[in-house]
Amino acid sequence: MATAQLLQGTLDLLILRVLALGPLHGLGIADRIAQVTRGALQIKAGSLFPALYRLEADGLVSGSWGESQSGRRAKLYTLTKEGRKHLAEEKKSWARASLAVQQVLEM
Amino acid sequence: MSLFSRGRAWIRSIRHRDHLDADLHRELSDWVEELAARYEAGGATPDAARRRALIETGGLESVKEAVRDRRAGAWLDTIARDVRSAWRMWRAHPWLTGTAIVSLALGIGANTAVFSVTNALFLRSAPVSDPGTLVAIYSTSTSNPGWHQTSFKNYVDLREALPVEVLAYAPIPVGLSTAGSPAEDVPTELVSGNYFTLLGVRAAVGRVFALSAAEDKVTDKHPEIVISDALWKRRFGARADVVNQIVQLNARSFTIVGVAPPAFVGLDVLRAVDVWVPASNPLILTGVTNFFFGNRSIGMFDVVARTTAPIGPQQLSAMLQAQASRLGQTFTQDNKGLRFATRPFAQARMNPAQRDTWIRAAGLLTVVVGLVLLIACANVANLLFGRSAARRRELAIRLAIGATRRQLVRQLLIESLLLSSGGAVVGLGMAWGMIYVLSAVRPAFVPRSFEVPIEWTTLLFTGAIAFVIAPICGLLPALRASRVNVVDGLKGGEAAVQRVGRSDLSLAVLIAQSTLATVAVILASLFVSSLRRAEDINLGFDAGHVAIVSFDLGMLRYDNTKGPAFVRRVNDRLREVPGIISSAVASHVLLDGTGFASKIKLAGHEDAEALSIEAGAVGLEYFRTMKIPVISGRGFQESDGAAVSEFGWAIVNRTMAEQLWPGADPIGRRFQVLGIQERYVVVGVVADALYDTLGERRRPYFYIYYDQSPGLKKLTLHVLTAGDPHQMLQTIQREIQAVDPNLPVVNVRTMSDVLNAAMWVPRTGAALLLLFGAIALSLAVVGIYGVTAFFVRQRRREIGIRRALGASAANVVWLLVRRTLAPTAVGFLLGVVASSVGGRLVASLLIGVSPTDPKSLATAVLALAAAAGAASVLPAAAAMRVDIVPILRRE
Repeated sequence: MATAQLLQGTLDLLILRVLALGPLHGLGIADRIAQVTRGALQIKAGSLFPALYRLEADGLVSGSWGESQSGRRAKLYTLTKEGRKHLAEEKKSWARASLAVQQVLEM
Repeated sequence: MSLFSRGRAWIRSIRHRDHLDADLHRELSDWVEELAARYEAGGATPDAARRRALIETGGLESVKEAVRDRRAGAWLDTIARDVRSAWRMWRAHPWLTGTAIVSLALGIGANTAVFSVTNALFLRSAPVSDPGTLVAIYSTSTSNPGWHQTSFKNYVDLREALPVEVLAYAPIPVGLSTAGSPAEDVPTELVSGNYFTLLGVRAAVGRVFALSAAEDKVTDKHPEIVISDALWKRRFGARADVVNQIVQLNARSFTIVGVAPPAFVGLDVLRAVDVWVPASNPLILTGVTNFFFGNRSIGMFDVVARTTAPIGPQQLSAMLQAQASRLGQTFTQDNKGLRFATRPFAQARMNPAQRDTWIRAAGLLTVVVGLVLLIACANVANLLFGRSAARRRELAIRLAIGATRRQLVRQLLIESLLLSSGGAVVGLGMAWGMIYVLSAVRPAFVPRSFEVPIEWTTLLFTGAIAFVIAPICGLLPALRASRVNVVDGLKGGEAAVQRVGRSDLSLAVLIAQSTLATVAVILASLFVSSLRRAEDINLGFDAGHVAIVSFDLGMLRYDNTKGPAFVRRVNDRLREVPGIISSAVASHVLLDGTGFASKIKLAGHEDAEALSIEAGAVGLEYFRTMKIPVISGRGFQESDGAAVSEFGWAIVNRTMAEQLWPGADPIGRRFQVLGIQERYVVVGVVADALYDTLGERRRPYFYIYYDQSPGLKKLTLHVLTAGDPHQMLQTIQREIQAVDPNLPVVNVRTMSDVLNAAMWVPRTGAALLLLFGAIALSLAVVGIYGVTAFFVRQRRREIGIRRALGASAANVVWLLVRRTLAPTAVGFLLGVVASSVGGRLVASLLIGVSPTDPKSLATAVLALAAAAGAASVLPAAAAMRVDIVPILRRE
């Protein structure tokens, strides 16, 4: 599924983070994640779409039909206000958690 | 995320489900197209690019499924989808569905019916406030163990001595009449003045009476009654002005002060009370009940205490023991050896001794209907097995397009849940019908408590059964089916079916089913032979030609001279009527439970604890009328009552003579009845009879002479007729009215009617068991047929080849016998063992039949063997007809 194991629940965070830079369609999100992680994380449709639809149902992202960067018809996802707030909170707690894990590992 | 917005998203996702599905489809196609375009740009051919894109994506359908599963409210969605597809599945196979639903409905219906009666008798709590704190108190003693009622005098002393409140109630015979209408027997209870207040029962109309212990003792001060809702509606047209209306009870005036709420019909579940009279009115009592009321040695009242902190049941018990020894010392004569036993009120809503028998009977019925349900489940499991074998292809396709094993199992479980729900609905209808029929044919003597409406506890119970049995019948087939091999399944044909590995499971089902059916049928046959035994049991008297008519001389206030004179005149007139051979009054009716308990002490043993022996007072020609043979000594004579003697004359039965004076001549022996001045002298011995129930053991009993005990007012005239006693009932009533036109007569019937009433419980029980046994047997037949037929279908090729190679018909039948009848036989044996163990538990319900009665066992096994044989005839015939050629050609 992915070259690196993805921690449970972190996919949501990644999607939100990527969308914070601007609206993207599904494949665009997958591409951007692969690009940023230098190919370490290849997100497949079977993981991406369930997560996207869940985020949309939760009101953190909103989708609307438009055109992708390559000019194709595509459903573009935008981060909502609530999503932005959620991302900020998650970032903080992620930082705390990763710091804690780091400390334990370097003990 | 807040609960609110989550809920909103949920509703949105349900509302826009179709819209979302379309969106998802478009989006996914776009994804694939874009990927393909990318690969094409990289130099792949269009076809290869598209294929690679699809593989990368991982299957459109499975992505869609994953999205759906993670969507808010997804579970509801999938379940709704599964239910819809299950519904389509069952609709497509009406025969299979019908068989399964009827099987389950029979099982569920029987269980529901039995449960609702059990619930009404044992589980439902009384409509009183806080029943958990109520404790029932019984009198008992070493020489007279058991759970007995308490005398009113002992109750009054208890009520004064105990720091908690105590109430008492007792049924009494009462004729109720309103101005201008004849008297009618109404179920009445004499209750302590605190009865309603302590129970927390408020009047629906008017008020209840509330009297202190002191007021209870002031005789005839409060002629007030509370009536039941049923009586109010039946006799008073539910009019609000019933309050303050005056009615006559046993020819005394009482004022109706209130109507009890509809749900409250007294505390004893076997007795629906219509009238409650305060115990401060003992003058309402006539004859023997009056004697009981005033007698400290004879228990008449059920006593209930309400425990309040800090006095719990344990403290109460200790206090009661102290009171018992105090009462024993103060009233040595009456209370020697007295102890009090307590029981939680919930277990005391009928006499504990009686309750044990009822519980045993209810338990037996519950076990049998449980067996029926299990057999039905086994049948349905079998059907589902067959079904899932036939559905291999469908299941293989589902797996191939990305369904998980869990999804398959869920789907199959929902299918069986739908089936069991269908069974529950139909079964509820059947239960309702059964209860309706039972209450419609309920004779007048069967308590109203058997008319049980289907209430919400019953619905809950039925629903729970449906939920529990769905996995029982569905889980194994579902697990099996989900282990389908995609390739084999898609290939189809017999190979796939055979790989189901069905045989070991259907073997287990066969064994279980025949075991259960054997137990059910053996129990049914035991009770049927018990019934047959009961039908020709030696009653000790002849019920064939006796008409009986009851009246209560107390209702018209006959005194001790007027009473016997009336009886004499009625007897004289009857003797003149052609077709009447003899007649006599008695204070009891045999097998009607109307004898009275007395406590006696033998002459020379005055210091010993009194013996409890039932007795009855009878008129001159009683033994002749009832054809009870006099074994030694003599019967009563006219002269016995003529002179006032210092002795009363008694005639004892054979068992009493043998137990009290073993090896000696009982004639001339003396004993004393507590509470009665005279001593009794034995003048004769008569044969034993059955006094209270058909199943009772031989027990001591004695008769005293009516003319010497004219205080007895509630009498039954027994008339021996030459022809059919029913023909004489009119005449007898006319002759009584000729002597006193105002005396109401009740219970006009014959001794055979009494016998029929006594037979009602064994007959109904045997009929129910027979019905359930028959259902169990026919379900098992269907099951055996199913397995055998399936076996033949499965092995058509093998059988055909065997036949072609020259196997004889006997060989083929042997194959069938080995595979299907052998497990059935194992089941039979297990069933026989199980029922001989279980039979011991119900031995006390059987009349004159041992639980291992060989005849009953043989009948049952014969019935089962015949059924199993019949079930395999058709499949065997089918096996004979197997023709190898078309099978080989098809392959």
